[in-house]
Amino acid sequence: MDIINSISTQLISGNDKDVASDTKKALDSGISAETILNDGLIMGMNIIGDRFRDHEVFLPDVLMAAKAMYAGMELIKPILIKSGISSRGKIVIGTIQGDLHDIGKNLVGIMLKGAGYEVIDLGHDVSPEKFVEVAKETGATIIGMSALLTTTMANMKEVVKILKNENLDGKIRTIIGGAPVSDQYASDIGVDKYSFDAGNAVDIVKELMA
Amino acid sequence: MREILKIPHDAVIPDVEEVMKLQGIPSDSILPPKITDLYKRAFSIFIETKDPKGLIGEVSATDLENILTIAGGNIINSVISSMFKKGTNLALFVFTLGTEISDTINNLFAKNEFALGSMLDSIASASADRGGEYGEKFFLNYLRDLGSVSPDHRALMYSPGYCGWDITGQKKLFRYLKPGDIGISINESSLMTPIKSISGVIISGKKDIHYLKEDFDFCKTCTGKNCRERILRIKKEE
Repeated sequence: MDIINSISTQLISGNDKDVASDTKKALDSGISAETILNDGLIMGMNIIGDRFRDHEVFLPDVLMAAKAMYAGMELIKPILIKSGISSRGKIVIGTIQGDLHDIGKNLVGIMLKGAGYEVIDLGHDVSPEKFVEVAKETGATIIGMSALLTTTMANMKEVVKILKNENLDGKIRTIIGGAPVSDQYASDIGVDKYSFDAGNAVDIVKELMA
Repeated sequence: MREILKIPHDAVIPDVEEVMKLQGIPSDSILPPKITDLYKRAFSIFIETKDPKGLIGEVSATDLENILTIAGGNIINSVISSMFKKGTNLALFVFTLGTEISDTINNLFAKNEFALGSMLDSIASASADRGGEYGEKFFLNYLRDLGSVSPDHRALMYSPGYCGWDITGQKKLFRYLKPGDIGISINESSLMTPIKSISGVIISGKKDIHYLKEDFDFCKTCTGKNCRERILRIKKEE
């Protein structure tokens, strides 16, 4: 299993070419795509995520690791799809209507994909109706919303209202994040969970999907 | 006065510290070579793709009041509404870094170059702030040349989306200034294209008018604290 450890180590160092080459070697040696995913790629992303949470590494380190993760994923994804191995769950994410700040939201998406979830990223300036519509269409069970502006965060409440009106609250759960929002705000507007950073978003998604 | 500004490229180059702050990296951090190299690559792309342009136009207090008035005839509850009448001169201002840099950031993310895309995004955001500061300086110098201001006057910009001014205020601001002349458009949600653009009102007046207290309702949830940074900028000049 040295090759699996190497995938994880190279991923943490952000060495995308080495991750791709080790992933290919692992596949050639008969290691399953699922093992490479869980014990190599996701393990590496978990470690870098923990280090980022503990302020041991910086944002660019995480993003370089994410690129390395994708380099490995590109090789194993066709095999996973062919063998019918599904993702850990689907999440729709986006920056709320009226807001274009999406770097934080992008990081959440990258970390969630790194943790093995299927992420449908709607980009920025996403209407409340669009969030719900896409979640219904794709069968996503979580909607993640982000805002940077105090003047746009109120739009998040509309998603909760629509879900309630369509009797989907409880079936499609909601998470919010971004500089102006808080645990208290999430509770005030009826959102299920507040996430303070990208690593925490992964923990919350795991909790909600457990 | 309404003028398209030829902005010197040097005026919109941000400091490394400003960029790293946007990356969440504290100023006292020792940057690993990997991050320094990443910054250099992103900065080189920034130099190649930026196309800074500005547009400034003076506005009367009556017109600004109209811009700040929402449906029903009420003026919005915001920092700017509370203080613009204390200003002696007002101007609308927009700034953009152009389409190429925004497209490049999107393309980098699409190609999984997250770190490079994110670094370039931070450089562009810090640069756009520099563009705003250029507008402020331009307006103050313009007024000085006219002899309209005293030495203790300062000009600062206040933008829709911040300090209680709803982002939809951008639509009215656009109707007055018409930034299509420098290639900026606005969508239904009042967001600008190219993305790396900023807009606002520059208020010139005695510096004390900018020393605002954080006693608005929206200050309780604000984590940006742009107002404190603005005040610090004035104080640094003292």
